[in-house]
Amino acid sequence: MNRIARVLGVFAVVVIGLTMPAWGQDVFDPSDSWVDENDPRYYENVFDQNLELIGQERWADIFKKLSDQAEASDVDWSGADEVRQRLIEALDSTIAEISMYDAQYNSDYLNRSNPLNTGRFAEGTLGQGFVGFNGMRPPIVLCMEGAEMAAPCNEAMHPVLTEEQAEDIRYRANAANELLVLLRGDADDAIIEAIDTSYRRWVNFLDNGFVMFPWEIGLNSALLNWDIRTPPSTQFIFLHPSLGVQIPLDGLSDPVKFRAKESLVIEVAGHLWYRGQFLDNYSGVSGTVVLREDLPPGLGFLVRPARGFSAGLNWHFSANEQKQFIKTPYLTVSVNVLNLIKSNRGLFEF
Amino acid sequence: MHILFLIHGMGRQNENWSVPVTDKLVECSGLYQQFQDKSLTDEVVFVPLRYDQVFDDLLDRWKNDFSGILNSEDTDDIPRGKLLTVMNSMTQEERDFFWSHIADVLIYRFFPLYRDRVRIELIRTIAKHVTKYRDQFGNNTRFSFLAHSLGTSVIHDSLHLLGATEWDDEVANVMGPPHTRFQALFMLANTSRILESDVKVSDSIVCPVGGHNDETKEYLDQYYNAFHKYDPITLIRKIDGSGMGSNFHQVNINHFRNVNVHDFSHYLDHPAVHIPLLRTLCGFRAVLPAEQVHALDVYEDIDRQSIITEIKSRVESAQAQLGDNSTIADLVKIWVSLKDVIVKTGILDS
Repeated sequence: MNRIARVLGVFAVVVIGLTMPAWGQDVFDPSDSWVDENDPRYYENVFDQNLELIGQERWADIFKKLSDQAEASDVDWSGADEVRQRLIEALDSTIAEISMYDAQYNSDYLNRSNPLNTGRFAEGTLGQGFVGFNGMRPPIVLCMEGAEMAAPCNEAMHPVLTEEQAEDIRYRANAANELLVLLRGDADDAIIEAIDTSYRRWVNFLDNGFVMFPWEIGLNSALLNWDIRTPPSTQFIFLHPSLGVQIPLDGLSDPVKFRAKESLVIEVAGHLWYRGQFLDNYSGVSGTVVLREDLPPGLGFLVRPARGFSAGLNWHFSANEQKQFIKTPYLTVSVNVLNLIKSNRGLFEF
Repeated sequence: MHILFLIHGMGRQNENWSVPVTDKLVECSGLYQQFQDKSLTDEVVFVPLRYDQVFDDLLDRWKNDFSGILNSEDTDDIPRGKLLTVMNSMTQEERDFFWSHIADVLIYRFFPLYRDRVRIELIRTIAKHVTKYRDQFGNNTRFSFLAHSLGTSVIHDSLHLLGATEWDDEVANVMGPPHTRFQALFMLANTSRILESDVKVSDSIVCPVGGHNDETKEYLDQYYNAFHKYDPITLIRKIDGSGMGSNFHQVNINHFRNVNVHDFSHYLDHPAVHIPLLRTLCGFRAVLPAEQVHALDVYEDIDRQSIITEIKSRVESAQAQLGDNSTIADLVKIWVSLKDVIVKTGILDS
């Protein structure tokens, strides 16, 4: 509807006749340089002739007019009338399909389960570079004089056309194509938006998400389900090392005991949950082992309330008695080791 | 206007990676009469696509870790996969080649999460460009693809997912067939079967009209597959077009104009490759039949027979080591041993 409204708006202010003159170029060439924008068959002029019907979305009536006009064409079609008949049949098939959608599906032409074919009249370049319309069955190929021996023009169903005949086909098929593109305009917008949404999810999951080491990619690839529309919304953490900083818990309230100490944090196993339509944030929890130079290993957990924030508690074994924990737990703040190295390489010696 | 998407192969690229490719195409077009008074760039917009930056971040994180493991004298007890064994036997130069070129291929093949991240990058870029250029040049704008090496696999998979995925829960995917169909796909050194994963080539919609006898599963008007007999990259699992119908065109070549027979431009240099491409872009008469016959007749290898013989012998010897059951690890070993035939630049002078 939006695209139709735009077209109607544009035509309200366009002054027909101020367009560029035709270049008189080769109609058998794939470019559009042959087009005379003053020709009544040119798609913008066809739009102009059907503004009211387009506004009312009476597509079957519009295509009926196109079919009737192709039938009444004053171009001499002798020698190649079967090609023009193929175009008329394609227009008539489209009318029948549109009428069926109007009657049975309340004009819902592009429902996912049963869409109208909107690509039938799209131009293409066929084998060896001939201009043609592959969406029609059989396809229409615009074969020029002198190319009778080149495939696909060496087939009987592709007779050589005069320039006038080729122009007639291209003008009329192009107008039909442009109308169908107009009809499906909202669907085009919806698909582009959906692809964009998927892209943002993937970027957030892999580029901005929690970094995975190779073994974690392997594990997550094996355990999680996803498709191209949306990446996994969860993630497993497994043997994930990072640098952290530890502070004795009682040091938070007693400045004398406040001593920050670097440590190696290994997230033995954990899980993340991504949130939001675009997976732009995540939370998670992991079981951890913490290693540092001056204490025996510590066990504990780490919590990630949101992207970039993590904190955990660890209890270190006693240096004297390996089977007992030190009474005071340590607060562990983990910073991703890779990001840390990247941004603060000069501060660390490895 | 014709939009030609260019998709690079393996290895790290820069923003100007496509310049040698477009220069080569312009140079080739200059051989023909049609382009004496107009330039290829008047009728074609070249759109280079990049996906290598997705690998770059990941590789930067891993490179040092893996190198450390491999260089360590204390790692004899670590069980090594076939690939790690291959890597451990490499010289430093070969290892650099591995990280700069082959790692991309292996990540794409064996890390499905990152594979989809690469694909969504291309899907979104292509969809955006299709919309943009249709708005700019009209709905009869044509779109084709020229892909090389790893890029053939990436574009194959990305196009399949772009056209076959139901992106919206309610609206039909009008970016897919039959609503949208691309003009031609040119595959140079086609790896889409070598790196085949979840998107199967035989079932893919990246198939020319007539290939599946179902217009909802045929995304291309034409499919051109250029295969060089002495390119080490494509020694196994060749694409032969079986089941793809008459709009699949196999282009077999075996020329030597450079040590690096795998090079993108080396493929384009051959008239059997660039003539169908120029005709697709600019029409059948872009290269007249007599010019085509002449170009193929006079096209010769560079006069360095001893080097040509040596390369042929090395590639044939490598091929003899491969069979139907050969794995990618087997192929990687051969790529490393033949790296001068894959990445070296310059004329046959070494």
